[in-house]
Amino acid sequence: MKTRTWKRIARAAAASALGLMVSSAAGAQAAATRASAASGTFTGRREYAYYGYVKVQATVRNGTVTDVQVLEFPNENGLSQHINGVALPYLIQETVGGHSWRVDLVSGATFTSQAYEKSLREALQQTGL
Amino acid sequence: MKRTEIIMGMPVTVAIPDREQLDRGNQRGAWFPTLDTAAEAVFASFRAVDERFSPYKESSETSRIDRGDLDPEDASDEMKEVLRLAEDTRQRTDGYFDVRFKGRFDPSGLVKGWAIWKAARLLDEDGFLSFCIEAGGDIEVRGANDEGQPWVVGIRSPFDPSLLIRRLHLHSCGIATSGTYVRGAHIWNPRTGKAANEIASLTVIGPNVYEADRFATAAFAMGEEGIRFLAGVPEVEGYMVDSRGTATYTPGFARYLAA
Repeated sequence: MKTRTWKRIARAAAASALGLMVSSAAGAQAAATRASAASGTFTGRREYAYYGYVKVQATVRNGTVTDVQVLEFPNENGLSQHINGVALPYLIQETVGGHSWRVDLVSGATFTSQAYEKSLREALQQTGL
Repeated sequence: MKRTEIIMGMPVTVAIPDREQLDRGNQRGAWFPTLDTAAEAVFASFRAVDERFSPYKESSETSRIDRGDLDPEDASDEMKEVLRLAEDTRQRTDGYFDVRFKGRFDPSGLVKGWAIWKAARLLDEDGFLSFCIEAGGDIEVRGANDEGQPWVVGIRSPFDPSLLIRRLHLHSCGIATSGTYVRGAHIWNPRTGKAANEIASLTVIGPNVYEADRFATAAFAMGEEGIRFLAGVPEVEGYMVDSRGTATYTPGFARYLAA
């Protein structure tokens, strides 16, 4: 899952968790109590999120979430890597050399240049092959 | 037995282990085609495909459709089959394979693999279990070679055509290689309208040569992204060589590589 998506989820989770905390304050004085009590920076637990762990820090002022920072988000090494936001599949690399092995057949070009190919085709057309 | 003829502007090779004659002859009884007869049937099949599909023959269905003289609706069953396969390929490759380009119609990128596959099915029907049919660097591989081992197939070096870069052990599959050195910049990137030149050679192995060929054609047109596209196609594996001599391949390709 992309990093941006995790951040969105984390923000929503943090906001709803803090909302619950604030709304559990009871009584007629709730509104006033809320305004003064719910301010500061709160850090959530490190939670398991299948691909890894997520930890969220929320900044609250007067009962309103004003900022969310994702301190840790899932590491997706196992399935793919995100580089510049583009997912790459797992591929293997090597340097090629040139060999003179004996083989049954060869896959690849049989002609070495476009001109040769074109010329051969023209010649063959004349022969009716 | 191995025989080669020039058809469709390229060498077409049929290789059948000699034991196929003995094995099949003994089992099948009275009539069984000789290896030479089988090879002739393959060559005849290619000539018929050439007559129908060659963009260089004025009377071919391809040329007639290209000129607008023939409506695809009125074309032969074979042409209609190729058009159906072409449309399926166009969709699966997000348009990177397209028989229509800049107002022209040319199914050659698919017809080569399709023609080999068609000829292979003739040999299947005749009861051959081991053989290879090769046309222009694309190969349909069946069974085992003369030694009873998987067929040993080399990948030609795009930098020196007299050398090989890799050796493969293939059993029953299709292999196709697209490369700049074959016909210069003959595969066009439909996105840019320019030739796809970044990659020197791209080899695809699939369940048959038709699958290998169509995906090799499309993936080559994608340039460097081609190998990533192939990694996402479950039924094929790819081996790409860039102009610097670095090869990149899908993990599933590894099982075909000889030491």
